[in-house]
Parts: sequence; C-alpha cells; structure tokens
Amino acid sequence: MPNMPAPFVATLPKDKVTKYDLIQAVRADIVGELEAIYLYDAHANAAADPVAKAVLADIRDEERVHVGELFTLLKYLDPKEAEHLADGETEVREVMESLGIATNDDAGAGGLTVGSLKD
Amino acid sequence: MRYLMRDGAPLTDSQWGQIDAAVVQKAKETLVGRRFLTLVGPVGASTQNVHLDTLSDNHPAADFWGDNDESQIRVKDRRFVNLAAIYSDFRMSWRDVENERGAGVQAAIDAAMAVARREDDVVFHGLKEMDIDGVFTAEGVNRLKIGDWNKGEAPLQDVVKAIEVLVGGGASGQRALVVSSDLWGKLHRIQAGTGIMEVDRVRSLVNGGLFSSTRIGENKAVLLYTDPHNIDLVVGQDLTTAYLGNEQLDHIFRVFETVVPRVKRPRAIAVLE
Ligand SMILES: [Fe+2]
Repeated sequence: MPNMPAPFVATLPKDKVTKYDLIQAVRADIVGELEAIYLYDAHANAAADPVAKAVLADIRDEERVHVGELFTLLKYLDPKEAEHLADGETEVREVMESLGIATNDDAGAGGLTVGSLKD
Repeated sequence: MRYLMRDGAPLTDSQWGQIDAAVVQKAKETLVGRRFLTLVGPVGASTQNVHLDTLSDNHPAADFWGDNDESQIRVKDRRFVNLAAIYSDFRMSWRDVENERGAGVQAAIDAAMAVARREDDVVFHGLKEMDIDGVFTAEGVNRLKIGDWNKGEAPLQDVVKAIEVLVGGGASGQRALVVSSDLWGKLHRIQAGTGIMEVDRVRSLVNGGLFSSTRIGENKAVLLYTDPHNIDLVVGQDLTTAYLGNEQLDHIFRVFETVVPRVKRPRAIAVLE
C-alpha cells in the first residue's frame, strides 16, 4: 500500500493548483493505478467464478490504460521527466544490445521492418 | 539504436515515418530471395558472424547389435561466416528537408532498391571478398545443362530432370524455382496440344513457388529445396535508414542491413545454365 502525503495542503479553489502540485498529483494518481492493477490482478487470479474472473481481469486492463494516460499526461506536464524516462529506455536497450538480444526498435524509429517475405 | 544516429538528423517524426515506410515498401517489392528462404533473426546489429555447419553423410546402419557408431550424423565441419553489410547512401538537400511534403523520399526509395538488389546478388552469387557462398556459387551444387526454353516442353523437362537429381540426392520438402527474366518471358506461351501455358505446368511442380529475378543473369534458373536445413538467410540488422551527417547544408543518409545466406546442403540445389 502506498503511503503518500495528502496531495494538496488544503482544498484549493478550482484552477488554483500550481503546476508543480498538479504534477505531483499525477504521480500520486499513477501510484494509485498501479496499486489497483496489483489488487485486481490478484483478485482475478484468485476468483473461481468465471464471470468474476473475466470482469476483474477486464477492470485490471482498464487500469493499465489509465497508467498509460497518466504517464502521457505527466510527460506533457513535465518534459524533463519525459527526457529522464527516455534515457531509462535507452539504457535498457543498451544493456540488451550488449547481451545480443534484439530490441524492438532494431528496424529504426518507425518500427517498420522488411522481415521474412515467405508466405 | 544509437548507431543509427537518427536523432541527429533534422527530420521530423513524420518525415522519418515517410522515409521508413517508403524504404520498407520498396525493399519488399524488390527482394526475391526472402520470398523463398527462411529468415533467421534479426540477430542484432552487433552480431558479426554466424556458424555454418556441414553435417556428415547419413548412412543409416542396419545390423543385429545396434552398436555401429559409423552411422552417427554429426557436425563434420563448422565454419564461421561474416554478415555482409550492404548499404547505399543518399543525399537530401536542405530544401527538401525543409519541405515537409515528402520531397527527398525518392532518393531513399532508390537507395532501398539498390540495397535489396544487392541482397539478392549476395543470395544468388555470394560475395567472394568475404568468402560467402551463394545459391549459384556454392561448391557442390548440382549443375545441369539447360535446354532451349523456346522449344516444346523443354522447361518442364528441365525442371523434372532437376527434381529427379535432387530427390535422388536425398532432398525432400518444399521446392522453389527461380528463373532469369528472359526465361520468365519464354514460359509464357501456350503448350501445343494442351491449351495450358507452360508457366502454369512448371508452377504445378514447384510447391515452394516460382519466381523470376533480374539478378541471376540470362538463360539461367535454379531449383532448390528451401527447407532451412538446406539453406537459410541470416539477418543481423534488418534493412533500415541511418543518418550519416551533414555536408554543407545537405544531409546524408544510409540505407543498410547486415545479412548472410547460409548454403548448408549444396546438394539440395540444382542450377540450370
Ligand atoms: Fe483507474
């Protein structure tokens, strides 16, 4: 369970949160979504009832979409953070490359590749 | 892939997207070898060589005790072949870079076509400088004399003969036929007395496909059993576009790939020439 401070010191009037507070709020929201995925996944796996299993798994996947939305929003609000995230991606690719494991951008930034032309 | 230096180019994502799409499409239209060879990889741009094994002949034993190890199939010869870097550079003027509407993509397309053709050259003829054998050049491929494909059933007879030779040598599975462009033309005639085009009769014999290529010279064809234990194509870095840098105000790019064909069983190949 995340143990995070209250996102805002007081109930602020609409539109009065600073950009910094907003960014921090989005970070807290991401944590909340990850926690939700964690729980729904455990519950879906544990559920014996097939309907419950399917519904919980579906909600879990919706939460994953929310993580994607929030990260994109975070990168928009904080371009510096976006750069750090990109650096992290590059570092992992370099590790993979040094291990001789092909990464999915081997074909270039477009991800387009010729590959096999055999039917 | 930092070595592609794409971030260094003054292109927008949309311009890169146009180049990538055009390059890949042209390569797909041009390549012939990849339409019948099994692709291995991409094994990564940093891979410089791969092994190429020749197995000992298969002489199955039949005796009482089952203790004859002469019949064991094993790697008789392992050599390492280098992946050839195939590339073609193109130049985009600063005016074209500033023009978002796709000017300059034509040069990328030409480069892609050049690389694709060169890949087929290597597939068919190998690359002597790098000790790479191709379909036509590998030692031990069967060489048969080709008939006059203008006449009668010569094409069908040649292909049947080649199949006989290869099956006699132990080949099985899917077989493909690649013919030179002139022979492709000669196959398009009605076979007297059958009402069937010669190309359709020949095609019915090759379950792995019938292809024509401008890269194998004139009056030549090759029949091969395409199972990857006979032959495959290893790709290190698949065809892509890198940024080389700027010269004056223009920008230089490179379409490139690393690739090597592995002819493992030349006796599964019959060249008609
Ligand atoms: Fe959510």
